[in-house]
Amino acid sequence: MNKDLLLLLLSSTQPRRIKLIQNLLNGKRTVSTLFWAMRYGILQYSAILKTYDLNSINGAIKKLILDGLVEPVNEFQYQLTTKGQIKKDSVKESFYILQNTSYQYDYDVSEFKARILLAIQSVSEYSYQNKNYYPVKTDMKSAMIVKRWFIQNKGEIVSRLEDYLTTYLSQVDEKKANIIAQQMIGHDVYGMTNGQLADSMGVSNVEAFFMEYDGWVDFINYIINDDDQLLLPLINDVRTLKMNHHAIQTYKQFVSGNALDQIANNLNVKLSTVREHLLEMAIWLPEGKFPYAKIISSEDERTLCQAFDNQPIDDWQYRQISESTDINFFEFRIYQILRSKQDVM
Amino acid sequence: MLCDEELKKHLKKWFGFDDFRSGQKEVIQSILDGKDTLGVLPTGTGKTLIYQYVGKMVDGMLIVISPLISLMQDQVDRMRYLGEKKTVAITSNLSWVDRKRVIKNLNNYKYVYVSPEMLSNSDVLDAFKQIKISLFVVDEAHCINQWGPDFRPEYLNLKDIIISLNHPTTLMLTATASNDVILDIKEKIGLPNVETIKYSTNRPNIALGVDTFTSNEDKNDQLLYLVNKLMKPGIIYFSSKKVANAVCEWLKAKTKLNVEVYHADLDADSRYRIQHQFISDQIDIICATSAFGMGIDKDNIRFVIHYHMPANLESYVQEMGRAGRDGKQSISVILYKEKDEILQYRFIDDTIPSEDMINFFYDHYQQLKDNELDKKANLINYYFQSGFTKNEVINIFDGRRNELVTSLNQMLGYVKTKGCKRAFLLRYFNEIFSEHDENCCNGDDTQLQLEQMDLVQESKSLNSRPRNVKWQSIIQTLFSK
Repeated sequence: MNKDLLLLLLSSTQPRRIKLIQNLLNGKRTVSTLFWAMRYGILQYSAILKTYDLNSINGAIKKLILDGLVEPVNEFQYQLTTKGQIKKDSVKESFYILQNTSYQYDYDVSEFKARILLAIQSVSEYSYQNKNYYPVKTDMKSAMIVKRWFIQNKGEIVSRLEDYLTTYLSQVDEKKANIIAQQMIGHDVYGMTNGQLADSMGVSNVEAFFMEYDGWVDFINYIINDDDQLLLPLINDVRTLKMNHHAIQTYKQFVSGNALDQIANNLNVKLSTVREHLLEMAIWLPEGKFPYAKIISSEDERTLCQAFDNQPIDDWQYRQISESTDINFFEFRIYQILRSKQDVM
Repeated sequence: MLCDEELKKHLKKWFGFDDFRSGQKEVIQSILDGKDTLGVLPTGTGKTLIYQYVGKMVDGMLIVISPLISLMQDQVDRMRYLGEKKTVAITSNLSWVDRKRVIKNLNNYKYVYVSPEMLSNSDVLDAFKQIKISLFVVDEAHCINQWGPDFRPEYLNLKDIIISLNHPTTLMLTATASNDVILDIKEKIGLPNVETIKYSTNRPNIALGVDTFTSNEDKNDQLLYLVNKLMKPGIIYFSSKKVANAVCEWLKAKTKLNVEVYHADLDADSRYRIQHQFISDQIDIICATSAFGMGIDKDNIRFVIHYHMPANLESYVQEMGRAGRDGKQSISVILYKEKDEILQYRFIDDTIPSEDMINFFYDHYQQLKDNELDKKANLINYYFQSGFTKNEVINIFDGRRNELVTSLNQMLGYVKTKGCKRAFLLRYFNEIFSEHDENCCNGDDTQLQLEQMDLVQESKSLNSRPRNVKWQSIIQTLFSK
């Protein structure tokens, strides 16, 4: 893993688990991963490196320790040293980290990229009247989507696609437009690999990956909102909600007034699953969108507030209150999430 | 039986060539006569053309058994590129849904590439039984040879598979088979009377060099000298991805050449781009592991350098044989540092299960069977499932290890021989060679003169790859008006 990126994801005031950071970037979405990512303030980076080889995070941390930038707190957690914090501040200035983060959507950028490149390539070769070429690699579903798209639009496809791309690229920042164009594949054009892009811009591979990723996400959003629907069929399933749709279902039932065991019954899932779903929703949604009061009574809230008075949220332990109150772990965690959201405000 | 003239007429019409390369016609003729055929033809002969040609003459399906999944996809792309759109590969790379779809519509395909593992699956095999199969091709047939370099136990199932498919005409192709290997292939595939057509393994237009060093610094100096001097494009082969990466970065820093790395760790997008940039001469040198080059068709590769010596002479012949397919003068150089073979010995230990492992597997099978097995355990499992006893398996792998060590020693013998390298190499494939001259190799007190062989490149780089191009001009190039 890129050392600078890891540096940016660590803190000098909060010990952080690197395995969790790795899982987060890889797209793992257990409640525990999401909860701690929220606590670390890096939830928005969930799944951003799902399709990018992370290599060894352990190798990177070892190097950072060797450089005196990081120190282990215990077997799993690490913290920045003063020197590490200074380095982080300077890296922050120059390092390109993903801009297009969203709490709402996941973008399947690699799928979209494969489709749009295949679409551009097939039109490009068609414009040169060349039938013999090596198509960009995609899975069969994407190949079929592009094929269908091509056949449906065959009429004026060359000029329409060229116009579409020109219109789009001319209204984004010149540098970003170049990055996207340098990916394109067509007749005798093979574009740049991630490594070649990084070399040409003088940045690390992962930064080049982020730049490109941002460019594709912008393009996806443009296609979704544009009046010209030429490329809309290629977007199919590319943008999905970050929240698991079972969790959304549970949340809807909960908001409309069902009790937890009722929901479990309605959806034919375990009570513990219902709780997991609600925790996940609470983590993803802004404070105002989640009915915390339906879970924690104002009396419970007072009890919890007193019990953890002046204690950093990261350090709260359920066992501090498990004996003395009838508040369960779920309610405790929900309150912890609520307080996390309020603290940020 | 078709006469020569008719065969040539079709060749011209379908492929645009005036004449066959050596061996192509004989093999095609033999298949068209309905004979099971084993073609041992040198690298660069154009083996795909043989079955593609036959495919145009017959109306049933052609099954092509191929050893490497990555190679198979390349071959499919290539067949489609050549206009054979009804081509597909059934591999473990296909998603479950895609595989189901292909099998359901199997009838729509003309050329189906499939791995022996996949064909050992009864659902897949049953689907093929419903279909008229005109030719059953085993590509890289030396893999059947149990003690060969790319041994995979599923190859041993091919004999039964051919029978259960009602014995379609079978074609086996390889570039590297000694007489022993040929005998073994015939036996393993259960076709003792197969027609064998064997041509010389020799590639006279590829000069053979071996340079020996005592330190890595000296080796790197020589590498740098060679890549600057030699005519491009070229390939440098490595046994380790890590070293390939490091040397690639080093060459980028030390030269003005376009150098790229290619191995299994690269994502599909980068692999595609690098392969095609190389084919279209935008890259001077590829630093690769052996995964690179098997599926690509590039005829102007001028040099192949082995930074690490290969594991055996078969692999060496395959890899260096990617040079000079256009028939022009080319060169293969092995850079050997003393004790380089240690790396290869380690690979042998990494692939062959030890006696302890086999004992453990047999003694604890009940506990192990539900776990995910690693490569070595899978290998033991294959024999276990086939009813072999523990001692038999220990003996099999002991034998296999000895064979690999023997092969490695043959390779080392080639590297170290003071005599003619080519004669040594060909002797291994049961051929006699006695025409050593100054362009042959750097054995037998000969110095290869790169200048006189026309292997020196004056300008630094082929074409420079377009860098930092503006989007407007990219869009303009993409679409022809």
